[in-house]
Amino acid sequence: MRRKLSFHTLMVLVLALSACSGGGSGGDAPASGSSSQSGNTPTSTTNQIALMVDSGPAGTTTINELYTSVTICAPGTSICQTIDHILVDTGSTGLRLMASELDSAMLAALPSSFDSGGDVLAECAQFVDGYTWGPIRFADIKLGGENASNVAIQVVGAPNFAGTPLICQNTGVAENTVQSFGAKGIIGISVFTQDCGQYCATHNPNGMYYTCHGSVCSATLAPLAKQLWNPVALFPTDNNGTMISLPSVPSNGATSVTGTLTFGIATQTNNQLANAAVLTVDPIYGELTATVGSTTYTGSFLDTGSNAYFYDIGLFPHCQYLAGFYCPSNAQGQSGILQGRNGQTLAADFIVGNPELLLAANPNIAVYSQLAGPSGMSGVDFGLPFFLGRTVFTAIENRTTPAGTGPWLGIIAN
Amino acid sequence: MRTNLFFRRHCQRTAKFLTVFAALFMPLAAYAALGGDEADLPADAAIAKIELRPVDASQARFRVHELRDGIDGPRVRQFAGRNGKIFGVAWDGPVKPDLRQTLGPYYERYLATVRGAGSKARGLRQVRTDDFELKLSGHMRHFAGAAWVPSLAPNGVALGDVR
Repeated sequence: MRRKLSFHTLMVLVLALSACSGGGSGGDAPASGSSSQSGNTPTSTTNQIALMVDSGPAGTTTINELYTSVTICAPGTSICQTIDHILVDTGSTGLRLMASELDSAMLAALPSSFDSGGDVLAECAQFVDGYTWGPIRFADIKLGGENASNVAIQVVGAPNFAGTPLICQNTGVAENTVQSFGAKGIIGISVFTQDCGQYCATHNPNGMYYTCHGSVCSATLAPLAKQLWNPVALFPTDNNGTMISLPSVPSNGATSVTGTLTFGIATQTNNQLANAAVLTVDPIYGELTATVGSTTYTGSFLDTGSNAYFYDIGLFPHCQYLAGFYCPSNAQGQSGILQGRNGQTLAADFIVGNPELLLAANPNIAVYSQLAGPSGMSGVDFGLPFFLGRTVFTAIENRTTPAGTGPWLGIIAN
Repeated sequence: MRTNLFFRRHCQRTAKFLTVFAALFMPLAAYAALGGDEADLPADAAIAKIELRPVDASQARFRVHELRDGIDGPRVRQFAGRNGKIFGVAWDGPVKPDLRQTLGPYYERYLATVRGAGSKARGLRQVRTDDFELKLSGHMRHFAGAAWVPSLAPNGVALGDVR
């Protein structure tokens, strides 16, 4: 909303902006993004929400999946809904919700996103083993006291919508239901501002964005402003990154834990950097280097959306019935060192345990710090177990922080 | 020899760098899949925005062909042995390639394994069956993977060479 700024209002604005250390670039912000031009000094916002690791929503039995609740409203209305068991994912970007979990009133009230030709924008969002397919809609997102207005989100598996294009189907397994996805949605809060970035703005086809005319969809370019954005990047304040804190668990796991997701880095008293080790990541992939044992793995990354340490090591036997994990007969200590692009290093030792033995003794375990599995490509995926017993900061690209401009990762051992 | 609608070009399947741009984009529909024949690789890279270049044409044990979708797009490498069979494929890029195209008949086997893995294995990253192995990794904005058929591979080659 444009308004003429009186001198008085301008001075208040200048004072307000200087009081905030979490500045945003805003240069590519969508036209309808939230505005801080209210002329008021910002008061302290409730910038923290609860996280939990539990066995997942009804119909699933997950392990090491990090969840929170998200409130959305149809833009500018009081048609709101709070949805639980939304996967919190530092490895992806953008809010995606299962259509099956939205009230019919909500589904009807969320406006569509159109391209310049009047066709509906949709997305084939790629994840490690599959994809989510569905149209892009707009919603107000409320997390604690933070609000982002008119944000592009993905409504996954929307009814009465165009079917999944063949090329999209050919990228893996469909994950358009709570059962197949293991959550009622996902909120991606990576180091990136948009989910695809320059690649989708400049490449067609890009494998992710489509425009649909009735039931026929075709690949399309997606300018940055049209892509799904990191909701944190659109908050008026506390918008330069996040802080995730989770407790440790005993070596034989836990049935659940709770933690906190705090918005902003060094913007309030509850998100100060203290003695955090700051490791910068590459600006294209958000990755850094890790050494595990005597092997160095470039292209490594921290990812709350992965539920284990995933890396390729031929030493450990694979589990017999628990697909995708290692099952050594005895727990194996692994030495680990993370190294940022800035050269900063951090010890990151971990243990590879046996989840089959653990679950046989206690089938209700849903949090296990010693879970690891095979992957095989060049990087180590430090999944949820790495975050247990730590506070991890994720600084958004191009956003200002006292430790320098993002993207970077900051780690404090609890 | 494959040609597209707008260009006819005769190209040799040797260590020659080929870049051809067509007026219309044609999908990455014409490369050999895992288990397929090296001879099915497009003889002329008359596909828009695709660069086809044998990367290691002088390799004694196997040849590597690479298709890349532009400078920063996904790339797919196909590993062919002297038997003329594609024994391995590897991909890396900001998005996944068409895995049905890349894995050929092994794609359905991959899907079946993922579906049968159970909800604890969200994001299955390695498949090991009798004569087909696959491993993959990644996160939004960067996916990579490799697969091979051991029985088609030359002696002394391991899955670790397919990348």
